[in-house]
Amino acid sequence: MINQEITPGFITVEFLGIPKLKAGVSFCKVPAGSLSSVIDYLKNQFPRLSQEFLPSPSGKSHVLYSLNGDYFLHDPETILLEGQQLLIISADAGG
Amino acid sequence: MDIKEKMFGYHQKYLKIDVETGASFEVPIPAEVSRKFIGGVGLGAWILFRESKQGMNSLAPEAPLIFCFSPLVGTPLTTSAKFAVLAKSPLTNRISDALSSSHFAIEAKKTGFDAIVITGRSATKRIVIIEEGKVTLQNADDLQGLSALATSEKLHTRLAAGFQIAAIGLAGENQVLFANLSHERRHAGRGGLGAVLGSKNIKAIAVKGNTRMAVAFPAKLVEKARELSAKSFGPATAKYRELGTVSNLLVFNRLSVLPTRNFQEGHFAAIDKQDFQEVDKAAKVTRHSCAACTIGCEHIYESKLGKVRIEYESMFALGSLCGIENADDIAELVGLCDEFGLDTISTGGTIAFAMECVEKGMLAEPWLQFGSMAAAKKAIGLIANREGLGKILSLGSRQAAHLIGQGSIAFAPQVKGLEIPGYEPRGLQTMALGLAVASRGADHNRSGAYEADFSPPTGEVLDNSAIARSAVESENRSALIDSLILCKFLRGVFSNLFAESAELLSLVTGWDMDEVELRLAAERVVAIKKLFNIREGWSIEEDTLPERFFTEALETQSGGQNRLSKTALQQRIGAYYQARNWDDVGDIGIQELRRLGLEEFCNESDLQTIKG
Repeated sequence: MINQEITPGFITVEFLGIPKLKAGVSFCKVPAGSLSSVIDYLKNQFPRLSQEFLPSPSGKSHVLYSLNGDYFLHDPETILLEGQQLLIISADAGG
Repeated sequence: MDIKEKMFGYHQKYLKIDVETGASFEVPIPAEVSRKFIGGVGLGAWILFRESKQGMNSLAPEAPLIFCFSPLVGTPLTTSAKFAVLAKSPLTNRISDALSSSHFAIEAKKTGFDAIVITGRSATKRIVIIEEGKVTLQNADDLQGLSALATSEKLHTRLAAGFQIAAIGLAGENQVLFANLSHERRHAGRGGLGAVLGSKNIKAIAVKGNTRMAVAFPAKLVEKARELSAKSFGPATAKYRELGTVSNLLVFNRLSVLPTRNFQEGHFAAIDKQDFQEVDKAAKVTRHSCAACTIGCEHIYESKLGKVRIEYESMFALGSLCGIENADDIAELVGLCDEFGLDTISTGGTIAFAMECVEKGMLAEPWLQFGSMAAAKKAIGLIANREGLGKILSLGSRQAAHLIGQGSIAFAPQVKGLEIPGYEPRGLQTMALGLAVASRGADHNRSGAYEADFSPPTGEVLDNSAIARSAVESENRSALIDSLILCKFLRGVFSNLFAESAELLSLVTGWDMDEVELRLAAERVVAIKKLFNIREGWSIEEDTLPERFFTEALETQSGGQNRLSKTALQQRIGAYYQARNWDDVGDIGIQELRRLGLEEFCNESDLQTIKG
């Protein structure tokens, strides 16, 4: 886990790859809440990111959400708690 | 002429060349075979099976090296300028099929053949020149020791305009078992195909042709090609286009699946020094694309050795795997491997293995320490020249482990002798299965099973059957893409790969193909590669991972542990065989061979021959 100062009531979002390129930053603080509320917040804060949240032709998302780097989240109602870290990465892991 | 009678997309023959005598002759390919195996890796595997003898030494004169083309190459379809190279691997003694790209593929198809088969051993070092159907051999003494790139540049001045060249470097000449074969900085990298060409005393193949390949529905194909190109500019390929595969470094590190210090760790403390998104801002990186490609994934880095194509696999293998921190240093090592013609994954894997042997006191080479750029540089030179320790390391980590002994095989990072790519099996357990069962050894290109691991949960219980089905589906998709041939970086733009590929292939060939037919073809391609391995002595014991992955847990960055149970992997392998309709020990029965249309192997006595 990356050491980030905990801000009361906020989670830390970390961008990697294309999401980082589109957001223009590596980290930001977002009010804790459901995954969908975090995504809505990010869409407003970083309009260039919006396209990344749309599904690909195969129906999959272009981005993945990982909680603390441990596992991926799917359910938009998942509650993210203060101090947690949400990684947003490109869904394609090919190399 | 009725398009059902005319053969579009294929020349219906391959060219067989004996470089010992200079003789060449044409061999017909039945239409049924082309349709069943498509092209590229599939058709190449069929030719390899046919042209090779059971138990042959992969570096013997009679062992064939096959360049195989595809029905799509030369069409306006984006990323279709690719070719396959196949042989029995000297590194694994199993099938090796690798892909390379760009103008060589287009020009080679224009020589009028669907494949070129090289056999024999020239008495002196030579190059093979194929112009239309005419084959000549020329002296290559002046090319000795040159890199593939320098060889191509020199030949471009010697030969008439328009030739495209695939060549080997010093490592191929010296028959290093993981030497590659290159064209325009794109490598048919894995399994030592460069050593096979080197064993024939052939430095390069130059091709030129004028035979245009007709397609069945040219106007519709152009329309479809435009659609595909437009899609290829979208977000599904953005990672490759904007950042290149090297962007995986930071992502994999963050998820604790970046192989580090010979798979002793899953994340690398110094990874921030390899953030190419920051390097990019310093304008050290430029972009490039293969011929007929609209993605443009190549990111070219200005290293001390000049321009180097940086890819995730090369950077991980010569970076975190060897504990080397600095991006400039790693790029220089990649450049050095390119200069010598070495597969970067196997080079990095073998050096990292040797570094751990030194660390554990199993190998008295104290200079070879994790993190030492100087040591890695020295080791690469020794391997390419097969000098000193390089004599052992040039055999790859599996054979090196057998020579070093002391139980070191437990941490030799290989499957079937092929070094493991940059996907940590303990953190990516579907990929662990894909790595264990792949025909050519540990492989991220013939199995993209990591896609299942890099997916959010769907609610489905991920039992062994589900994991096995994911691995099977991934292999089938790869088999199709590698036979068409298209670039895998395009896969995300398809909503139904098999159905849309059937449409593309139908437009080129005039055949009325559908999803069902291509799904079966993909299964057939996987099966014939497995049959080749069975014939060459494969046994179920080969479908596994090094013992380290079962006995050592991997610490994650968040303080957890990733573990892989041997029992679980074995159960998943069993489920994989079942999903493929193979028997309990991984053999393919006659009934399944019939289902796949592999009737030529269906005869009971033939099957016994295959199984040896």
